Amino acid sequence: MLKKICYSFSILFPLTFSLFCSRFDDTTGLGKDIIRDIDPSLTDVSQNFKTVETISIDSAFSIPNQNDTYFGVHPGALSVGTQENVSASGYLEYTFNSETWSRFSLTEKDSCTFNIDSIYIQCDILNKKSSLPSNINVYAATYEDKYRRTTQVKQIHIATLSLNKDSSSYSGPVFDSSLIDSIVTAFNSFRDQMLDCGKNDSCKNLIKDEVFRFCLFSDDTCNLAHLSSSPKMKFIARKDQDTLRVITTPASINFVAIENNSEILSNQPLSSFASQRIAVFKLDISNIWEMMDSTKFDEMLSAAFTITPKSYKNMFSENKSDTLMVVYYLSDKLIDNDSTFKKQRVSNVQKIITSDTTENTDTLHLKNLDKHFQLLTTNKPSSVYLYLQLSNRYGLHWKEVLWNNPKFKAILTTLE
Amino acid sequence: MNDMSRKYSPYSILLIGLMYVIPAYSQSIEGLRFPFGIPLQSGTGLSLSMGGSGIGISNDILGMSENPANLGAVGRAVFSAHGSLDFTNIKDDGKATNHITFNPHILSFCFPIKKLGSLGFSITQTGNAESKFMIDQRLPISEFDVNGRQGLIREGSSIVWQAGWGYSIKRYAKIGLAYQRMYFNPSWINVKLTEGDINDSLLDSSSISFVTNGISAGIQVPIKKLTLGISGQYFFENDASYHYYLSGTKVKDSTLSSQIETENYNFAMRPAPSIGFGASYQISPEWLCAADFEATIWSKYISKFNKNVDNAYGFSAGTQYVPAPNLLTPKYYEIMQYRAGFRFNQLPVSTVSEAGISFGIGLPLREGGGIFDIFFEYGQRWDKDISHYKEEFFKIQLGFNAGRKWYQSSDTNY
Repeated sequence: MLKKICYSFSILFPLTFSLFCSRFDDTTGLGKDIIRDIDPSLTDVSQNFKTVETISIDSAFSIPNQNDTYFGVHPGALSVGTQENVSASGYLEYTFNSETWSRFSLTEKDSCTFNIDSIYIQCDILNKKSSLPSNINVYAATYEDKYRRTTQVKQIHIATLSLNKDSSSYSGPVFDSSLIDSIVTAFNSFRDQMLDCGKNDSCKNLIKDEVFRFCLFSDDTCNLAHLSSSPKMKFIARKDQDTLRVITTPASINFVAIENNSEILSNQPLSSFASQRIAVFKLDISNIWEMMDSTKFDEMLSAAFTITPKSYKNMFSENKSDTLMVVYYLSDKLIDNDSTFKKQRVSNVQKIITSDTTENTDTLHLKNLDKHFQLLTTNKPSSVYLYLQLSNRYGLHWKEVLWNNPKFKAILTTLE
Repeated sequence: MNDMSRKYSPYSILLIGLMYVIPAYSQSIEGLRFPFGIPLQSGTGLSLSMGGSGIGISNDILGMSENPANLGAVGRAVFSAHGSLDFTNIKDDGKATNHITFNPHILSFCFPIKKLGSLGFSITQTGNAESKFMIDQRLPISEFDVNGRQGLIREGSSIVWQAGWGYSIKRYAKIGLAYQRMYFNPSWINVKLTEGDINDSLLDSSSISFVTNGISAGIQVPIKKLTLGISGQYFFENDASYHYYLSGTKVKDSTLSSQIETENYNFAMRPAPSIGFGASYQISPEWLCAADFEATIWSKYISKFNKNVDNAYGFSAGTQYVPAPNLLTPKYYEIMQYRAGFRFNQLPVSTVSEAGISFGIGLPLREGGGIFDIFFEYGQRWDKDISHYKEEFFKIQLGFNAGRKWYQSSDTNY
């Protein structure tokens, strides 16, 4: 036993001592004379890195420069009204399927009479402390109205939702009897098709859903309401002598924000959350290509911009500082469609910035642009566009940033 | 064998544990200039603790490590394992960095096949090509704090699998012959990266995949108390495949990708053959001394890379002392094997050499089942053209050798 202890000690002691009393390095920078024999450039950092900070800005503006585009669409959120020249209108899409009908306690075997006495729409308010529109008008809509608000959408007025006394919600009855009739007709059609299918489940699965779409507008030109993402449609129906109360919520919602002064705003490098206006800087980068062609530094290792807000507004926040997330993208093409922009490989940066001030601490670092530049190495365009859009993260605060000119930073390297 | 595995399991666990605990990176900037990195000495504890002198020592626990002729001395099943915990201290112009790695040296198993001689199998790490050279400098860029780093990273090691046969020609000689298969898959990465406020990297990488066949042969001739030995190995020329790829950039018209292969071709490669001469002398039952002379013929090395190599010669000598090898009831320290040795080796680049001294003990295991070796080696590696640079190494070497007879020879008469 003693021998075993002696053996173990004789092995473990020097090992433990050596391991714990020494600091070990993963790499070494020593032996430059030997490395110089292999590749002289490996021993001098300045031979392999060159920094570039000069770039000229041709113009600064923002897109879109007109309404009736796909900009300003906010899926999953609902806002109605007008705030600071931005008008928002909501969209609701209710889908009636077998699951919906089952909530009326009716089956295909029922031979009872079914009627809807009334329908109420109720929308809860999220920004209760703000000034709010006094009422919201509901119009029947089509699928085409989902992403674009044309003037034709206000043709069939089906309800007016009034602000409750405690400013907690908007509600009101559907006064358009044709809508009620079409829902009853849809139910009867569903029941007839279910009877025709009998016990054939695959046949039942083929019965099409009925979709009812609505748009929400407010005539108020100064106030805006942020609404809950689950507006309720309340049915009071009769099955023979029984009264049924059923509540359903929409399958899809969104709101579209449209600027009333977009032509003026498009002349400024402005990023706006509500309208999803994108600030654009047109940059002349021909000197970068010339440098990469005329020197051995022909690889862009890193590229970045720093940029500061000239002014910052947050319309629905009382906080003096906010976290701002900016999505940015660099391209040699001028993009004029928000859905096209969203398909690009964008990067983002977030930063806590202070409202209505311009401080050095508010500098945003737009990094990882070397990948974007590398994509341009084939065509080497003389101009590129830097896009800046505000992300919808961190709540429904309607933020707006007017930008100063960005400053370019790049690190070139060699590939020898 | 179950008894054996129970008996030696603590040592196996220790060795295997070390292999996993120590991160597998070595560090020798000198090794970056050698085709296969730093050459590792072959051998088990007996020869390595005597400076690496084993070509002329006839002992079954040396197996196939130094001289395949030792297979002719195998009269029982013998298992050997050996590994080394290497500490390296790189010194250059008054600055120093410390590095650590674990190098598994050899695993071998030999057994007799009655009158037909003996068979042996082994796997040996013959070279370690791991090196990481990196330097950095703050880059002049406003509003950002950025360091530019660049360096050269080489990874990989050379491994040789062997299957051999040995035979004892009565008392006159022992001969051995082994088939070898060598694997070498190194990679070089030329790194350029930025760290700090901006983090980007450009990796310019090459890798080689090489497999070849070889033979090794040896003979040992005993002359009374003197044993002379000679052994050599030769590898055949074969195609090595070369791959070149880039990461972190866009090449030609391909889309952005994490890695882009840009070049791929084959070239002829042949490792350098080597030959060694050794002698051992059993002065008395207590004292054994041995010496080896080895030559690696780099002039026969064929490759597209690292062509600036020169023939390398090495010399080693060592001794072993056992206080009372023949006592019937000795104290334990009287049967312990005390060893010491010295070696000098030229390395593949003509101006680079290394020398080391070793000392350690062989601890006999219960019932004559084997030897547990523990010894230490201290040495230096230097380039005579670069006086301010040297690499000091200190190695803690661990190994065990276990043997057991599977059958009693029918030739034995009482």
